[in-house]
Amino acid sequence: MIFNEILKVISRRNFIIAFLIMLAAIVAYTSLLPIEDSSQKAYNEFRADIFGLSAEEIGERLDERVLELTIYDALLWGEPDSPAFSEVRAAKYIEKYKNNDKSSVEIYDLLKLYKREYSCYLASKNYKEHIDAITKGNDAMLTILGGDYERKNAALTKAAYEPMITAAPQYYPSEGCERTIRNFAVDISALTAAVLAALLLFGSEKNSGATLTLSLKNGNAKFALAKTGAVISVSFLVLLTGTAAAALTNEIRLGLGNPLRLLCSLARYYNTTLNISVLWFVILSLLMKTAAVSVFGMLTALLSLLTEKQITVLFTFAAAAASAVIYYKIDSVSALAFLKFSSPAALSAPDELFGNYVNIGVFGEPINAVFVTLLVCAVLLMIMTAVTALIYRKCSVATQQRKSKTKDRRVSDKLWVNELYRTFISCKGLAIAALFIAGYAVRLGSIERPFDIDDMMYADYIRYHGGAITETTESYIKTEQARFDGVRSDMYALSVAFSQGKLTGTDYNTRYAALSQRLMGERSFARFLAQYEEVKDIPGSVLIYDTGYRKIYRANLTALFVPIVLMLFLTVPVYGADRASGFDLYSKALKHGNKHLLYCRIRCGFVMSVVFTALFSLTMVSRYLLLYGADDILSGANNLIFVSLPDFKLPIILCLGIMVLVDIFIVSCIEAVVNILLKHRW
Amino acid sequence: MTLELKNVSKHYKKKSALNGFTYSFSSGIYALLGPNGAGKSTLMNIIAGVIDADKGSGIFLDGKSIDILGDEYRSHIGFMPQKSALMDSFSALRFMKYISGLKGLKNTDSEIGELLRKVELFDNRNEKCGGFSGGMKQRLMLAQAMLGSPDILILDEPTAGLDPRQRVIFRNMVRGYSESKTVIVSTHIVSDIEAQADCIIIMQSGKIAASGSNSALLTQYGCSELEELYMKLFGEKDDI
Repeated sequence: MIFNEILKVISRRNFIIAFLIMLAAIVAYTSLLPIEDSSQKAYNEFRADIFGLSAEEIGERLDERVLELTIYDALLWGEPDSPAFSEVRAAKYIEKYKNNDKSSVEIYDLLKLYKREYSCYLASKNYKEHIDAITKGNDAMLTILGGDYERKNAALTKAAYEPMITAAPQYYPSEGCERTIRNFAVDISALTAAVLAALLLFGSEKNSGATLTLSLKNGNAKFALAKTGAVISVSFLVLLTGTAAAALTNEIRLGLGNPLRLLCSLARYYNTTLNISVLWFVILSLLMKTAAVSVFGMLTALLSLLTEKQITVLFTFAAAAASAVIYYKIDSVSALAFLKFSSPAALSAPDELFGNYVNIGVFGEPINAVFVTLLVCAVLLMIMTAVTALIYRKCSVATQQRKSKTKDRRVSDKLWVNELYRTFISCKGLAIAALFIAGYAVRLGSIERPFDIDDMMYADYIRYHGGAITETTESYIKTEQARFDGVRSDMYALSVAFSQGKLTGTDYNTRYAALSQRLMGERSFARFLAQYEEVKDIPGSVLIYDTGYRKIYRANLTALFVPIVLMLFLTVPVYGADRASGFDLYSKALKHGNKHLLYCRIRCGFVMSVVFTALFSLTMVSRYLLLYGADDILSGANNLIFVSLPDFKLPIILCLGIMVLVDIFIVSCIEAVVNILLKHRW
Repeated sequence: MTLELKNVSKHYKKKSALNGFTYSFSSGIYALLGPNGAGKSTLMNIIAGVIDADKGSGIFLDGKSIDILGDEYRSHIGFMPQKSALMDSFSALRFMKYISGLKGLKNTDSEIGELLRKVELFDNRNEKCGGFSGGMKQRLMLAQAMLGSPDILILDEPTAGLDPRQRVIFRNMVRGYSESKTVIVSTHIVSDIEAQADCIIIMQSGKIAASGSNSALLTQYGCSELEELYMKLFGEKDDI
């Protein structure tokens, strides 16, 4: 019975189309997600550098490259006395630097990346010591006089980490695996699939077939359980294929490494207590996520038995959103931690759940957070399933109550008005749009300017020395550079003096710390200098604070998904309703039921695309401009070094406008293509 | 206005739904009779332009091929499909206005009101179609087919779900309509058409098995009633 129910779902053309769209969205999302603290170019170079090397060889390569890039960095900023030069291997890199063609920004990006990966490599090498430190720390906690809860917590923590004592992580860049395991697009796709499956199996059949099946021997609770099994199975299938698609994309873009290496090899799972391979963890997380999305799927099933379909979809997504807000907004150490970990959305963040061992207080007892999440999820799923099965047995075919309405309403005979009515009223598009707008508003509102001292100091450099490049600017740059060089030189001299025994350790540390403080702002100055180097030869160029524009540029790529997904949610149900009622075929018999109707829908879709895309894009741009300022918005876009268009002199404000127009164009094109495909029953 | 079908065929993989159907329709009521699977609905859908006939088929309106006429041909058609294609969330009035827009008609308020009165749905005009009974849906579909007074009215099982009184109303509506127009009706309910059809076309396995006026057919087959003729042709065996 379950197999037939699964077939009912996956053989539906609408489901197949939705599935293909979801897969495409997963690939696109995974491809476009920015790499953490790095550019794709730097990452590609890094990957090519370590390709084919064993873990030990990678470690050696990372060590060499960190030294090489540090030397390059020092030479670029004119620091001939950098401590890196004291290394024996420095000479060959100093020689190699003569052929360097990379800019300061590229060197800086690479250095950041290599330093980060090298520290991950060292962490994997020192893993045993790390676990020993955790064990010792917990032993110390057990001996300290403290509350009962703290002792129990320490004992549980110590026991949890015991299996990890013999674990031996194997270093490989972990971002690819981490992004495969935790992927927002995959989670949303699985949630959508669960909801769709529940609607198809419970909601649709309630009206069309329940009167027949309810009269059959196996047509009641057993049938409902088979349908539940199908919802769970479809959710798992979508998660599996979505994760596979994400894995393939990440393998191409970032590299996955050996899937059989231990989970603790991944940076975000360094503190995990699961002594299993990455592959096993992926399978485990798929099963857990299946349970989580199935909870929402069964919520849809339950509601669709009680109400009309469109409301259940809205309510289910609202419940999922609420679950996500509860999980992501509540602190894990707050008094509401139990609520946080009771939320099924916790399973959408496996790195947070399994990356650390966390116990929460439940009636004064420390209980593992993962246990709480899984237990609550399982209980919710069982309750939903049981109630759905009971209600399905008793449900009667729902008929819409005919409310007698004699008062005439003004009804238009214009086709486009009725098409918009169908989209926004009949298919509840208004509520869907409101949900999207509300969600987006919450998302935008949560974007804050991070406390980044480097960026703040960079902003100060621009504020006091930015604008048009003059002799004064150049003179200041030379002076400031010399100042930093002087500090570096003093630091080197101090190191030499200490190595010669001319200073005590305390003296050395005190003076070194004082000198280090004077280096504050060096990174910010490096950025300021990089901008100067890039634009100084462009006539009429100015130095501007570009952080906000850089953020807008990156955010726009992912923000574009929101109007695209919204347009799909507004467009597809109309065609679905046509198909369900047979109107799509019947309309062919009408004079304007073919091309005319299609063009009308494309026109309506264009208007909606313009409105929503402009709304989302402009609010996003405004948010970032509000956070980072728009002082230089009238300056030429050729001053934005991350855009790399030295001849593009249009003002930034116009470029932002063009960016929004391009977004509108893309969304409109996608909307038109979707209309054409759906109208022609593809 | 003359609608001419020449060698119209439709095959679905190995199954032949229509096989070389050739006929000419002018003004009057034409009834299509035949068992399930005879090809009546397929023929109706092809005439209405909902599905395409196989290559080699020809449909001509006043001598012009409908492939060339395109949307212009559809302005002469009023189609009532076998399955109602209503939108549950639309009121009857909004649905009629929507169809009016799709038919390219303007200023149809009074005509819509008149049609809804004729099918006894005027008092329910602001109610949602989703709450209508089967009979009410049929009547609304009939009303929308007649909207714009098309020259050719194609009605597929129009009286299914109607009570006897409503079927009488339907017969009167069709009779009044057909005086200068072509009405093609397919039905299983012999009594609905035997008194008023100008020509009865009996179909079998996608072909015309017999055609003619009611009296001519009864004489030809030696029967006193059309139902007796139907049973004679399709009662115990599939082939004539």
